[in-house]
Amino acid sequence: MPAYNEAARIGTTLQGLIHHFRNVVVVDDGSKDNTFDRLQELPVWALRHPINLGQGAALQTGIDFAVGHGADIVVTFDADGQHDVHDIERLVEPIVAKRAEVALGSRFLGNDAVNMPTSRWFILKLGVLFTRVCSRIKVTDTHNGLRALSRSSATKLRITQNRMAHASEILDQIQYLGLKFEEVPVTVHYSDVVLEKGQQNSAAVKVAAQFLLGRMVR
Amino acid sequence: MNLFQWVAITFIAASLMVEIIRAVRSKRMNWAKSFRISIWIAAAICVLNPGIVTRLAHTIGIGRGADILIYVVTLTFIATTFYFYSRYMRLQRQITDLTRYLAIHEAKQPETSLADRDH
Repeated sequence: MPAYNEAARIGTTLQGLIHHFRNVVVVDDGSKDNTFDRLQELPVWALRHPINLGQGAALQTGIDFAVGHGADIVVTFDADGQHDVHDIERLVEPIVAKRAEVALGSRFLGNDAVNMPTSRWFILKLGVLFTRVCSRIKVTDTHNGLRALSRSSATKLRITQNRMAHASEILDQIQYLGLKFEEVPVTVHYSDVVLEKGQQNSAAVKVAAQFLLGRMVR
Repeated sequence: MNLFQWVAITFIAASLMVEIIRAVRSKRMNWAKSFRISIWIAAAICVLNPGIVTRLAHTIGIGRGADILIYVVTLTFIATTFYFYSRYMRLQRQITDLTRYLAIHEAKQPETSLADRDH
C-alpha cells in the first residue's frame, strides 16, 4: 500500500487489512505529516521513502520488498479507503486457481462504483480507450489501484513511471510480457475525502503525456 | 564594423579568453574544451564576415545565410532537449533506486500480527 500524507485515515484503512492479512506492507512516500509514526504503531511492515517520489515508485518499492520476503501473491491497495478489503479474496482467486498471473480490479464489471461523479466516469472511459489504442490491451478499468500479482509476474513487471502514469505502464507491460490476466469486479467507494485528495480530472492529460514520454525516452 | 559586430565580437572575445585561460591553467586540453573554443572562433569569423555564412548556405542549397542559422539552432535545440530529458530520466531512476534501497533496508518490522492473533 503506497501512502502519502495519510496520517488522518491510514489507521482506518488498515483496520480491515490487518485483521485479515498477516503481511501488510505500507510504503510511506516521503509524507510531510506523521504517516510514518502512525504506521509504526500498527502491526504492518512500514517502509519509508526519504523523499516523495510518487505512487508508482512506492508501489514498486512495496512489490520489491514483498517479493524479497517470499510473497507468493502481491496485492496492491490504495491508502485512501476507496477499496473494500472483502474484495481481495475474490481478486486473488484467479491466481490461486492458476487461471491468471495478474488479476485486475474493475469497477465497471458490475454496478460497483459507489457515488462516482459522471465526470470521473467519462475520464476513466477515456482512459480505457487510450489504453486500448496505445497498449492494445482490452480492459474495462485502467486506473484501479486494487490488483493482485502472482510472484512470477511481480518479478517480471517493472514500474518505471514514478507518478500516476504507472497504472497505464502496468497494463502496457502485461501486454508486452504476455502475462495472463483476468478482471475481477470490485467496489470503489467515492467518499468526499477520496474525491478531495484523489486525482483531479484535469490531471488525465498530464498522466497520458507522462506515459507517452516515458515510452519514447527510456 | 557596425554596432552589432562590436558588441558581438566583444562578447565572443571575452568568452574565448575565459576558455583559453581555463585551458592554460588546467594544463589539459580535452575534446570538450577544443569544441567550445572552435565554436567561439567560428562565431567570430561569421560575425566579422557575414558573407561566409551566405556562401555556405548557397553551397548546400539553402537560400539565405539567416536560414542556415535557424536550421542549425532548431536542430541543436531539439537534440539538446532530448539529451537533457534522457539525462533527467536516468538521474530520476538513480534517485528512485537509491531511495528504494534505503526504504527496503530500513523497513520497520511489525511486532505482532493481528491476523495471527485472531486465527
